[in-house]
Amino acid sequence: MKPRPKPGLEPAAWRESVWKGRRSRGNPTSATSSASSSSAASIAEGQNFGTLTSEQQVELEAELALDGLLGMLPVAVAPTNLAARVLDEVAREDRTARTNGPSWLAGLASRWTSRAGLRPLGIGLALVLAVAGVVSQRSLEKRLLMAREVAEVAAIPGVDALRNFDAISALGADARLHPSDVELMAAMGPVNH
Amino acid sequence: MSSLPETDEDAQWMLRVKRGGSDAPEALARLVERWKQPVVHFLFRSLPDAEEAEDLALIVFTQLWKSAARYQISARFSTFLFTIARNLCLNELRRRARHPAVSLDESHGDDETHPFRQIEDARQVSADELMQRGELVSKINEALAALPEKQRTAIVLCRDTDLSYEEIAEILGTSVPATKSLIHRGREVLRIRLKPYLKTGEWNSPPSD
Repeated sequence: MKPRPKPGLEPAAWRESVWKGRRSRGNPTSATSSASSSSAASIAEGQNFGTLTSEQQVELEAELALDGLLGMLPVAVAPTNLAARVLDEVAREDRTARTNGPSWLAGLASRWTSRAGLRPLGIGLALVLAVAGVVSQRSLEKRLLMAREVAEVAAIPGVDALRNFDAISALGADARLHPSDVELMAAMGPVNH
Repeated sequence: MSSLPETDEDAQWMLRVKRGGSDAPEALARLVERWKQPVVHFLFRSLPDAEEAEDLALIVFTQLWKSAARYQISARFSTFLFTIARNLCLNELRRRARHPAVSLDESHGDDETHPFRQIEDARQVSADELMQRGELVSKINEALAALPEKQRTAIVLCRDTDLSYEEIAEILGTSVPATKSLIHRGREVLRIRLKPYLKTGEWNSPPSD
């Protein structure tokens, strides 16, 4: 029994009649009739309406009205071919799982690809990491080169070594000295400290 | 729709699915045939979009197949099934919240005169009556959709299925008293929202969930 507007009723009057007209427990769809056991309707069936206090009656009427309203909601009908579609889907997923290797890997991949919003983020992150790697490698190479150059400079004797005339004079005793070196040392004369 | 009472047969079919033998697809098909109507109806109430409910029902039963290994005979099949359905439904609602889309089928904005997917015999009611009913159904759906998810699910499961309070509590992950409280509070909110509209036509859009 659906709450149907009476002919000629204004919208406001019709809505009022819907709210008040649920006393007779009209449950318009069979879809919603099965599990209303907890509703006020079942209470009404088990009790004499007249024995309730006025507050309880108002409460009960409101519950019945709500039941009726919820009963007005349209019912979705399940498609007749759902079982066939489910079996097709299951078979398809089984085939995919067999061809794609381990299921956890396939699950991970599908999860990744299904989250389209994460794809640009992932690509961006990979690019940033790649650029950071290249920059870091270049920086390391530069520092190594610099360290090598510093080490070479450190190996050169300091200016003070040139003032160690004793050592230079001692070199003269070495027979393997080049003649030009001997001439140079002779020109320098005696060493003064 | 009338919800099918669960029998041991369901558990037996599910165990066949779990074993995964050659008769597993047939067992799954039997379960789909038996439970498709309550599942589609539950999803439709929760979303509420008939086409999406159908699509999601397909995913629910596919997930049932995948999760068969986790099924324990100690648990009722309906609890197992509706837990899957609820989780997928929650995922869908979260996805919608992240990526809101406007459905061409839904009534929205000021144009609420078109009830979505309401099938009515036009020979018995006038266009005005259809319009009024459509508007009312739209308001009821709006009020229902605005309830917190647990309240809405508890009301729908209690009203439209044969599940007991214990089973609903298990699906929701709450206690039985908490489930009763959810149903009571949800119904109270619905009454508070709908009564003024029916009395005076006044409608305050409820805050979205």
